[in-house]
Amino acid sequence: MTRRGRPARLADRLARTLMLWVGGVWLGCVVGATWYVDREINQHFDNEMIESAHRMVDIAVHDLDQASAGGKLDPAGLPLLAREPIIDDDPVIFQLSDAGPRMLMRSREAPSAPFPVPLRAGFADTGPWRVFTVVHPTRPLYLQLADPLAERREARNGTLLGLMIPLLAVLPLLALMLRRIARRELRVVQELEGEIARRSGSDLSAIALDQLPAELSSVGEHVNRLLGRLERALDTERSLAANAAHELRTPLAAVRLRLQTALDQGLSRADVQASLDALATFGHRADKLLQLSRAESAGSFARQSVDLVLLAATVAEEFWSSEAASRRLDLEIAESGVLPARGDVDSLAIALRNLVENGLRYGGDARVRIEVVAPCVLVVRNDGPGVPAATLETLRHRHVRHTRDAAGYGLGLSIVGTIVDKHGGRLDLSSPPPGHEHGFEARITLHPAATEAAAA
Amino acid sequence: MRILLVEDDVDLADAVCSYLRAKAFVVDVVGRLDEARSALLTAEYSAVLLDLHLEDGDGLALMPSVRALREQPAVIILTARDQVSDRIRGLDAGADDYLTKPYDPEELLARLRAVQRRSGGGEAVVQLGSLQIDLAHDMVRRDGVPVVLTQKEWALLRVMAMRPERIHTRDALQDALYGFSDEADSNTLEVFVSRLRRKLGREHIQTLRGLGYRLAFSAPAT
Repeated sequence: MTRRGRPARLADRLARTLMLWVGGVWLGCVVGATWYVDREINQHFDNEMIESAHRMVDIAVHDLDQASAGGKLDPAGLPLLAREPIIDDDPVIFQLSDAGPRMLMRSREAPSAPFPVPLRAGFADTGPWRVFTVVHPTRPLYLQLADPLAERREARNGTLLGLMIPLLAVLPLLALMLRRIARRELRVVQELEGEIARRSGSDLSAIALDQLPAELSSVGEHVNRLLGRLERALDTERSLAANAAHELRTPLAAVRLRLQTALDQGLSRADVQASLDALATFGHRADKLLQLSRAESAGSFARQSVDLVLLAATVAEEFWSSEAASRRLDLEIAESGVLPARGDVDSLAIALRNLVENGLRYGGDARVRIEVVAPCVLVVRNDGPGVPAATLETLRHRHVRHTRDAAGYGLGLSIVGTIVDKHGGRLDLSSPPPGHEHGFEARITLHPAATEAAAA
Repeated sequence: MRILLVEDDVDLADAVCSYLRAKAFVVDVVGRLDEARSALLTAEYSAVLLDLHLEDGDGLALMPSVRALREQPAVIILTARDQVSDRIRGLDAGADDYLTKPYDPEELLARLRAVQRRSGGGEAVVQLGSLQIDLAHDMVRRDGVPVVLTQKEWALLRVMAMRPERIHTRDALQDALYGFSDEADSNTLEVFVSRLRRKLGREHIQTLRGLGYRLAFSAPAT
């Protein structure tokens, strides 16, 4: 199986998306942590500056006073250099000025120019320095302690690097792991795909569903149902082909024989008439078989809203066109409460037509009545002789013929049964009908179209 | 009576033609819609027998051309499409009748005679059980006894008797009354129907809720 030109695998897509999100969230966390660390470092350094400044101001003023008493001040007014501290690993940078401002003293590492910040107590930033100014409590002297900002930046960058390096190292590993997990978990999809691909006209067996997770199991169920329908449709086609051969070839053979006889024996009227009759039978059976194939092969009927009154009227008018049927067929419509039914108007018409045909054909000379009953019921009744109870049960089975004349009688009822089943409706046959002494009644109960709309 | 047969199957067209000619109809045959259109313009037909499945389109596409004619022929659809929705579609498009293949030749003949009757020629007596309606002479007999009808009652009965197989809508029947009076309010129809019932026998006019009225053969035994 080649993978070229195929859309990306589901597992890879899943892994990629997960990676993007994990990486993104991680990056967000790093940025947050950096901000926090930066703040903490600054606070810590500032606190240290405040402490040393308070300590230094005392020492520096003391040293300045001694130098001034010993006459050691520079005559040119250059600031006095502070004493070297005993431990010199972290030099202190400061300048001591008066209100002039004139620089009186500075540490060795401090710049000779004054810091360009005002002589006011508190912090101020200037170029590479952070400067803290402290005022002598009793004299007009100012100590300015400076701390290089670069030091803080270094500390922050170090922390950031420490956080980022493991992230960069772990991300590829994580990506690999996510992809492996996704692929492993989604292998069931591939298996299902393979199972479905293996199904064909010769293998329509159901797919095993017990190993599948819930979502896929329902996909599998739908596929199985589809396979089932397909199999039934194929079965119907096969049996129909076999039945059709029998049902259609027999009357055709009769026609040929009759016509041949007519030709051979000087066109006797009886033979030609018999051929016509055989052809009529042929036509009738062809009709029934077509109807049956329509009824059975349709997976599910179009779910339109069907006006049963209009349907019954149209079918009745079809029959009324022939005078013989017109004398015997009545239509009765409920005063009110008839709802549109859910279904397919053409197949329901086939069902109704078959019931009326049967009624006219087997009801003796009795009247046949189509009734439309509220809410969604079609009734076809005749007051003919009816059928015995034992026969009633077998009537719905296909190709059960009850009288010699009964071309497709059972076929007709099995068509009706199939159509009603596919509508999810109910077909009740009774003979004699309740409340009558004799006769035959077929009652089709359908679902109203409105309830579906309300439920949806 | 001249008939236009629109049918693209040559064998069937031949068979229908010779059958109808033997029954003394004049028949022209065309196989395509465009030929049918020009035929309609060159001769005056009483009826068009229309196949729906034609090589250059749906037979119903001919209906506008038929309706545009001053003397409209009756249209009888002859088709293999037996779905009730096709039938409804055909009648909605303005066809007068609908026969599905393979139709009984006698049935075709009966429908053509009905067309003839409606256009005023030929036999014009409708027998409904004990009721005899003579459309040519505006006469109704009940059990052989003539029934006297007013003009409006007759107009109503005529519409129904012309097409006894049909259910006639209230609108169609009201149209029949319309020419007579300007005070045609909605109750008028019921009034005339009940008068007709009194004169002809209740059972002969059936009310179908929500649909209309129809002439019935005899009382349904309820």
